[in-house]
Amino acid sequence: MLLEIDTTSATPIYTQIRDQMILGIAQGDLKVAESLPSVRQLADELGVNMMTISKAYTVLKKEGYLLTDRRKGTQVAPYPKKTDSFAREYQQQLALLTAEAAIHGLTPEEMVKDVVNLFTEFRKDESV
Amino acid sequence: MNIVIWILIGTYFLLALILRIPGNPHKNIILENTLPKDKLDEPKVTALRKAYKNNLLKIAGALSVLTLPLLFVSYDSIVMASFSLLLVVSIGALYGCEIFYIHKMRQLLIEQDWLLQVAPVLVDTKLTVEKNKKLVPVAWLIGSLLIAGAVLAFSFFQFGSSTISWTLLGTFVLLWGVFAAGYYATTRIPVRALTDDQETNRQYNNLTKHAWSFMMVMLSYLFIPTLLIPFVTLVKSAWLSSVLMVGFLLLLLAGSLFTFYLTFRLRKKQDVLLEETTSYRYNGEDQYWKYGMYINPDDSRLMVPDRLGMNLSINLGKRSGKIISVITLVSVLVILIGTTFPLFLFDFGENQLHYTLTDDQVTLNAPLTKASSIPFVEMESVELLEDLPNTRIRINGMATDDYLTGIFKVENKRAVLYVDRSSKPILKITTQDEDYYYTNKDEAETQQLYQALQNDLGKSH
Repeated sequence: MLLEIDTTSATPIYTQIRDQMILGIAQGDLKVAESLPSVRQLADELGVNMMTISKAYTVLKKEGYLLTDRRKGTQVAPYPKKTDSFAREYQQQLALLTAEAAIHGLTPEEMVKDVVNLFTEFRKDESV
Repeated sequence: MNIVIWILIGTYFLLALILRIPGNPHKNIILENTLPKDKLDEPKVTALRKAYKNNLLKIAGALSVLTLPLLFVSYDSIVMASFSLLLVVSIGALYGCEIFYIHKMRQLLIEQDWLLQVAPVLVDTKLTVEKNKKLVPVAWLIGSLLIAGAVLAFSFFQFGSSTISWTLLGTFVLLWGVFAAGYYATTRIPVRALTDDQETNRQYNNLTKHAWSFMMVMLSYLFIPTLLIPFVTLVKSAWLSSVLMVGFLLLLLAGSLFTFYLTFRLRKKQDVLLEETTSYRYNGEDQYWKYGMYINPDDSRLMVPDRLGMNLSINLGKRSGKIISVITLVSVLVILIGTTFPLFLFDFGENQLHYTLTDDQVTLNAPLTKASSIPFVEMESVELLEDLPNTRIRINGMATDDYLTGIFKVENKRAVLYVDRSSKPILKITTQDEDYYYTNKDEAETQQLYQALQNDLGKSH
């Protein structure tokens, strides 16, 4: 997949990597068991400290999106199961997003339509 | 010494020609500034490039005119001191010219509103994982390590644990280390998407990786002949050893030229690749190159590919980069001063080639050369020569137009020289293992020593 990192953005680099990798997995740009660059390689690529990349990978591993294999390095994990901590985080994020949508005048129907569209985009690989 | 002056003048023009390269567009960069692709041929840009390149040649020309009077100076010490000084001045002047024009180009971009938007860094994860696929195998580097190791083992076998063996070992560790580090730095060069087209990026990266790793491996083999130089002194025939020495030098020269050829070819191939694409991504690096070298404290890499596509550059924003640069600079200065200083002693010191006679031996001295004490009982003969034998090779000493001091091989025999070439006759002392050649600056003194030795030799034999 293509990561597009803006080193001047206010969003921390590790958050940019995390978010884009999750989107990549959902969109099928990153396949299950696909190898990812090592921490050093990615740090060299972006010209940033290895700690930054390590932080992004640690978060992604903790959330179940990535796996580290001693021989094969870092890989995309099989789709993780829904855990309690994910359910909590999901509820929080959804509440926040819905609140913003409501404030900006979106109707529940409009929001559901957007969600359905995104789902078809994300799950297009699964339906094949 | 005239040759030194011509080398210096050659160096000015060589430096000017090298510094002209950033004046040509590569990766849409001219004079360390990235331009929009459609502005590369704008008349104002062309005019600035032309002025820069002409001025470099003018500076080289002016420096040459300043240097020519040195042809009429007969003191080696003054010539060498001026050489060092002019070398520093020329680097400063030519480099200053480059910085001046980098800033002028920047101003032009600002005036014309041609500054590019910084594109976010694009990383292709697949390409990054496979970025070192086209590297020359690291096993090739191990090959040179083994060969050089064998040469070193032979050296310790031949010369024992002597200065020669240890110097060879030091040279080897330093040189091989540099090339191994270069190879490692090549593995870490980022893919850095230059365009939006991933295939172009992949090919661009493969070209860099292959060419650079190949160069490092090739250079690691090329320096092995320099390790063989001390063995040349063991060759009996002076003719053969001269041929071998010239051969080694030619090999080194050919290797350096071939490296240049490889880098030029790489640059050309990459330019062709980039010409075909329209989506060049500017990553905002211009600000780190405004002094013609890479200064970026936020980049963790020590070595980065330079923007000419021909070299690796040290990141001077990093502490280790600064330390390495300062050490290199100081070493060069020490070498320049260290080679010039003894020449001043010879030219302006008082009777530097002196001798001390005692009851049973004579001691010969020259500046920065180990003194030789020769007991009379070891002397086989003492004679006066009108000329030095022509078949001589310098092993560890100094040979200028005016002086020959240190250890040489003269007519296939080890010899220690303390000779002022303008002074005749030359005193030759023969012992079983080595010969000694000596002149005093004052010819009468040489004669006097010869007489004294003749008398003492008569007594002791």
